Amino acid sequence: MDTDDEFMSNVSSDEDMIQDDSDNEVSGDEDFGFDDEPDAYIDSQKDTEKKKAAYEVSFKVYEPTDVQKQQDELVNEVNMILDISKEEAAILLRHFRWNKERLIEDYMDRPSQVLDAAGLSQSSVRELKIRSVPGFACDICCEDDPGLESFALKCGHRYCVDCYRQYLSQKILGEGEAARIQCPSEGCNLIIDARSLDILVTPELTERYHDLLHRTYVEDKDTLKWCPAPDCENVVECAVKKKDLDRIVPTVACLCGHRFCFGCALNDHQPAPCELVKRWLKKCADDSETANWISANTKECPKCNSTIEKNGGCNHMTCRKCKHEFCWMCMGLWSEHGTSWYNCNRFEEKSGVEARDAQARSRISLERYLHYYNRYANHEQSARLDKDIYHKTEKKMVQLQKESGMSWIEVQYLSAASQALQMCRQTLMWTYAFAFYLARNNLTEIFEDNQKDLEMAVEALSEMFERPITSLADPKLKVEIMDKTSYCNKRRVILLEDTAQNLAEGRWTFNTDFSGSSANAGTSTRR
Amino acid sequence: MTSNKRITKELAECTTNPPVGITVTLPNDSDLHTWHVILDGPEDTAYAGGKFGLVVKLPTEYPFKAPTITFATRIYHPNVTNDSLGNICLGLLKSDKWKPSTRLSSVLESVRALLEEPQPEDPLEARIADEYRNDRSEFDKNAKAYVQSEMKVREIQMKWNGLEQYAGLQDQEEKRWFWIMVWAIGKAKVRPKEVMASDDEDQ
Repeated sequence: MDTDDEFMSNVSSDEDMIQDDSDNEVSGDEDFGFDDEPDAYIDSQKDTEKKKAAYEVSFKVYEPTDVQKQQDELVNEVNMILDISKEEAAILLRHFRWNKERLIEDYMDRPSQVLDAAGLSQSSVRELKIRSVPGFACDICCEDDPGLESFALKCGHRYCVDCYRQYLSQKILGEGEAARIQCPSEGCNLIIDARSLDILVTPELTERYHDLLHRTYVEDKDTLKWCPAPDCENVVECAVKKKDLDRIVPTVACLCGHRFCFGCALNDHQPAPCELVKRWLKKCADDSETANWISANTKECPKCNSTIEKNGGCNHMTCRKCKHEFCWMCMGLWSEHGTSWYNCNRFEEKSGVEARDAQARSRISLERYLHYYNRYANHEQSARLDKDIYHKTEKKMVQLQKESGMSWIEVQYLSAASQALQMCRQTLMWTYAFAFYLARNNLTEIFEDNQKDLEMAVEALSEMFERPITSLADPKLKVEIMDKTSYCNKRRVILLEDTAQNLAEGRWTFNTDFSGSSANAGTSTRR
Repeated sequence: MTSNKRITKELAECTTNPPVGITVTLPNDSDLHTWHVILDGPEDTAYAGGKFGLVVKLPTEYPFKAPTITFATRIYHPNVTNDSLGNICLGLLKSDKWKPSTRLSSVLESVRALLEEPQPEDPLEARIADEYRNDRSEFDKNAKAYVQSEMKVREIQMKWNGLEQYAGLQDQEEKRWFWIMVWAIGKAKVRPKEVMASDDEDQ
C-alpha cells in the first residue's frame, strides 16, 4: 500500500510541479522542441510559428534580480561592441526598445543620427558636476544669488540645483517618468542619464527612478509581462505574439502560483481564446442580470414580439405597441375567450398553441445564453468556494498528521486534490463560455463529451473532498481521492489538448465573428 | 513659493513688453496664479477683428508643471472645444512635452499661432476640423459669423451690465428672466436667441 501511495502522490502532484517548478521550462514532457536556450528570448519569437499545437506554451518566470541582470548584460554588451559609456548604452537600448540587433545595425550605419534621435547629442564632453558659476542666473526660478549651485548636462543648459531637483522629482514622482526625462531646456531633447541623476537627487528618489527604469524594460519588451497578482514582482517571458492569440491560449503560471493568460493578463481562461473571453465578459456584464429578470418576469407579444411586463392582475393584455389583444396565460387571441374573463381554460386552442410556439422560438436565444451563463457562473462560484476549502485543507492536513500519525508528505494528496479542483473548475467555467459561441458540428459533440466527463469527475472529487476529517484518515478514501485527482487532471488535459489542437488548426466554427477587433483576421472558419 | 519670483518677472515682461496682439492683466492683484489675457484675432484670418478672452491658470508647481489655458470667449476653431469650457489642445502644454524653461509669452504666442494656423490633424472638434480641411470658405464664413455674434453679445452685455447691477440681481434665474424682459421691451437690437445664449454661456 505504501509504495502504491508514493507512486500515486507523485502522479497527482504533477500539476503542482507545473506551478512550482521555478527556473526551468515548464512544459516538461509536452515540450515541443520550442527554443529553450536560456537567453535567446529575441530569437525565440521567430520560433512561435513552428511550434506544435497544444494547450501549453513555453514560458519562463524571472525574479526582479534576473530582470536587472538581463538589462545589465545587454547594456554591457552594447557598451563593449559600440565603445560608448554604459549610461549611453542604456539610453540607446531604451530608445530602441531593447532591440539590441537593430540598435547595433543602425548605430554602425549612421551613429550621429542615432545619437541625436535618442537624445544623446555629441557636443563637447565636459565633466558633469555641481558647481557655482560666476554671474549665473537660473532661467527657471530667476534667482541670481552669487554662489548659487548649478548643474548642466552635456548640452550646456545650466540650471540651479534646486530647480533641477524639483524638476526631476516632479517627473519621477509626479509623472512616473524615468527613461525619457529630457533636459529642462525648451527644445533640448538630451536625455538625463542615470549617473547625472545620481549626482543630483536624494537616495529615495534614485530608488524610485531605478524602479521605474526597471519597469520600462519590461513594458518595452513584448515578450515580457508583469505577473498581475497583487504584490508579485515577478516577470513572465513568453514568445506568443498578439496576432497568434486567435489560435492559441497562452496560459502561464508565475512562481507565486498565479495562473494567467499571457495574451490578456486575465486569469487562466483555457480553452477559450482571448477575444472570445473579452466578448463573453462584456456580454455577461451587459446581459446577465437583465436577461434573468426578463426571463422571469416578462413575455413577448405574440404578434410584434415586444417584451411585455404584466403589471396588473387582469389576463386581458393589450400590447401598447401593436394593440394586439391576447391572454397572458395561454397567449391566445383574447377574442376567442368569449366571456370566460380572468379564467383561462383554453389551453388546447389552436391560436394559443401557435402563439406559444412563436414565444418559445423568440426565447430560445435568451434561454441558450442563460443555460451557458448559469453553468459558467456556477463553476466560477464553486471555484471561489474551493479556494476557501483550500485554506481549510491546510488545517485539515495538520489535524490529520496529528490524529493519524501520517507524515507531512503522506497528507499532500489533499493539497493536490484541492489544486486539481481549482484548475479543473477554472477550465470548466470557460468551456461554457466557449460552448456558447460554438456552432454545432461533430467536433462540438466530442467537446461536450469531454466537458461532461470532466464535470462529472470534478463533482465527484469535490464531494469526496468535503467529507469529515475522520473519514479522510481512512486509507481507502485516500486512494480514492488520489485516483480521482489524477483522473480529473487527465480529463482536463484531454479536453484542453483537444480544444487547443483544433484551435491551432482552425477547425472550430464559431457562431460569432471574432476577427473584427482582433489584430489578425483569422477566425477558425477560414480553413 | 520659489515660483513667485519667476511669475513676477514673466508678468512684468508680458505687461511692459507684450507680444504682438496680446494683452495681459491680473484680475486679482493678490493672486499671481490667475491671468486674464485678451488675444486679438490675427489679421488675414477669419478671426481678424475679434477679441478673445483667455484664462491662464498657473499651478502651484509652476514652472515645473504646465499652465492651463482656456478660452473664455467662444470660438469656432478645430482645436478649441466649442463649449463653455473652451479647452485648448496645445502640444506644448502636455506634461511629457512641457519644459520648465518655457516662457508664458511663448505659450501665448503659440496660442495665437494656432489661430493663424489651425491644426486639423489633431482636433478637439472633429466636425469643424473636417470643415476646415474640406470646405475652407464655409469654415471661414462660420468662424467669422461666430466672431461677430460673440462681439455683439459682449457689446450688449457691456451696455446693459450696469442695468443688471442696478437691479441688484444675483440669482441666475432672476438674471435670465431679467434679460428676457429686456428683450421683451423691445429696445435691444438683438434677436432673443442671442440674449438667451449670452445668458447661458457667460455664467
